[in-house]
Amino acid sequence: MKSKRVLLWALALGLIWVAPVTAGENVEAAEEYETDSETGLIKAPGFDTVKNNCTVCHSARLVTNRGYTRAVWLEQIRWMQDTQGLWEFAPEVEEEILDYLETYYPPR
Amino acid sequence: MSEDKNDRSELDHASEEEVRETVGLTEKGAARRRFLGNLGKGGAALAVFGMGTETAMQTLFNRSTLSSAVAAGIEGFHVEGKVDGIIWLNDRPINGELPPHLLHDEVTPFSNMFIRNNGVPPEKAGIDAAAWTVTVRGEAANQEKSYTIAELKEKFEHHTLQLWIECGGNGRAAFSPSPRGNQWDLGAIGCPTWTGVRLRDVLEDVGYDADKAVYIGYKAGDAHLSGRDDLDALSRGCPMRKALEDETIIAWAMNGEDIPEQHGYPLRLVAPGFPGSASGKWLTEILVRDREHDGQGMTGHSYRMPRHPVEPGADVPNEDMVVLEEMPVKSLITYPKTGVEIAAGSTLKVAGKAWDGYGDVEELHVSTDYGVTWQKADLKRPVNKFAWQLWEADLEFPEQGFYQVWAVATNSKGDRQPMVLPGWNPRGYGNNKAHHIDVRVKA
Ligand code: HEC
Repeated sequence: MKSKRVLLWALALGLIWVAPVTAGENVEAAEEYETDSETGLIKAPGFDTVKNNCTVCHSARLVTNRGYTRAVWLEQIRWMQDTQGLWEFAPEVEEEILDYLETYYPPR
Repeated sequence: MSEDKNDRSELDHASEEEVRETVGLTEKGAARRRFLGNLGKGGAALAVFGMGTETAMQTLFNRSTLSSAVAAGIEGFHVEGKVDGIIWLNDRPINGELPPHLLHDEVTPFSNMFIRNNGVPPEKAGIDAAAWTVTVRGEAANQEKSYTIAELKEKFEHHTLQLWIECGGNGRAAFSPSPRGNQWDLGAIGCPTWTGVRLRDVLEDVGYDADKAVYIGYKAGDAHLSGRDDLDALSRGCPMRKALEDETIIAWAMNGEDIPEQHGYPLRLVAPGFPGSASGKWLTEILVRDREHDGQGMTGHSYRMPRHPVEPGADVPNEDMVVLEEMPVKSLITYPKTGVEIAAGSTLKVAGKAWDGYGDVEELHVSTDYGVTWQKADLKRPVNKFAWQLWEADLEFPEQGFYQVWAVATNSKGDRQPMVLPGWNPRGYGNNKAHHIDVRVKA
């Protein structure tokens, strides 16, 4: 995970060099990916899993206009599992979702 | 639909037809929602998308009234009758706030009233208001008793009051690190008039054990976002002392007309002074509880503040969180819009609103020099307790240049709005930091 992030950040920085981040966009790492027109989510690895599981009850705006640490994202998922009817995930699915959220929707 | 919290297996194989069948949002939704008990809580609607297959989702989106909004993010999303300039934070659930200059009306019209939905409201077209009832029951109620709206109107004295409702999380966006919850800026507040009957009168008619009664909780007709029957979108309440106040009412009208769909048609609670979530919309039941109500939104960190002040980002255990009750004293500058330009030597009239969770704002002061000196504004008395109070001041500026006008309200207890952000808390409630606007004085 660590090395993947470093790589992403390096990529992102490279991109910023040629194309400064749009005002209001919090996610430098996302610059290399398109945004899904239907949900507004960044089409990076993990996108399909997040779209399929996280836009069922509410719009993805609850994700795209937020930014949290991995711990807070996990806390949010646990809260939805405990009180809002969100289903349990297989460990690898949960990892994939958390990797995606942590990388593309970090604290602003 | 299985009642089992995690059993969604039967959904995974739903064909598109089945999905259409179950969703039926446009055609069948209305019919289904005619039944109070089921309303949008007809379970299957959204849960069908358990696995969120693309076809299933598209079916929902194409058939939902919100289709275009969901498809195009928030662009193109609008609730009919709302003012242009309303800031939509979300379309599913619907959440929208106003920039301060759109809160200048003395009495907030429908067009300028913020929306905070936690679930999916029952469709107005599917509601037979004549058949709508509110049922009072609970551990401390002497009996279970239901009232139609006609019976409420007939049996109890009517009250028309101008009452503000403010979302508990209004101002949350300013906190850092960012607390979970809607990132409200300033405008999740409004003050329409409401017509209804006192909750106290209804509770007395039902009868309750005053020694046992601790809290009231409400149940409402909106569906949980998951579509599941066994979950409430929101079921909050207030302590008896608040429930019995003169201004805590069960209302059927807003600004003299039926309550609009998004604001609780046909019946809602209004418990001013408390976070907006205490004012349950689409009211179906009142529970007279012998303990603090424990419905959806009452427990964990929801609508709660740390018992002791905490540092930003602190991880606060549930047992150290207490329910947020009276909202702190606050004000807004609603005229002019921030960024106004005026000519040197001219007088600028600034005006706004002030309100307090205990009901009375005593004084309002404005400053054009970041708080070095203060000028007392002309603050009106409220038209009734828990109506926001209008204020205005004529300002002069010593010379050309850039200024900020700051407004600070003081309540009857002497509490004043801070000019710095109040204490961080895990869910970002209670931000009553003073509001300011920018003013450019041209030579
Ligand atoms: C079974 C229904 C359901 C599913 C599926 C679901 N959520 Fe939620 N989620 C909710 C409910 C209910 C809320 C509260 C909405 C409100 O109060 O407006 C919520 C709120 C949120 C919020 C808002 C927290 C905040 O900052 O305000 C975020 C973020 C969020 N969900 C993320 C996700 C992610 C990520 C996923 C996928 C892993 C997901 N949700 C899947 C039900 C669900």
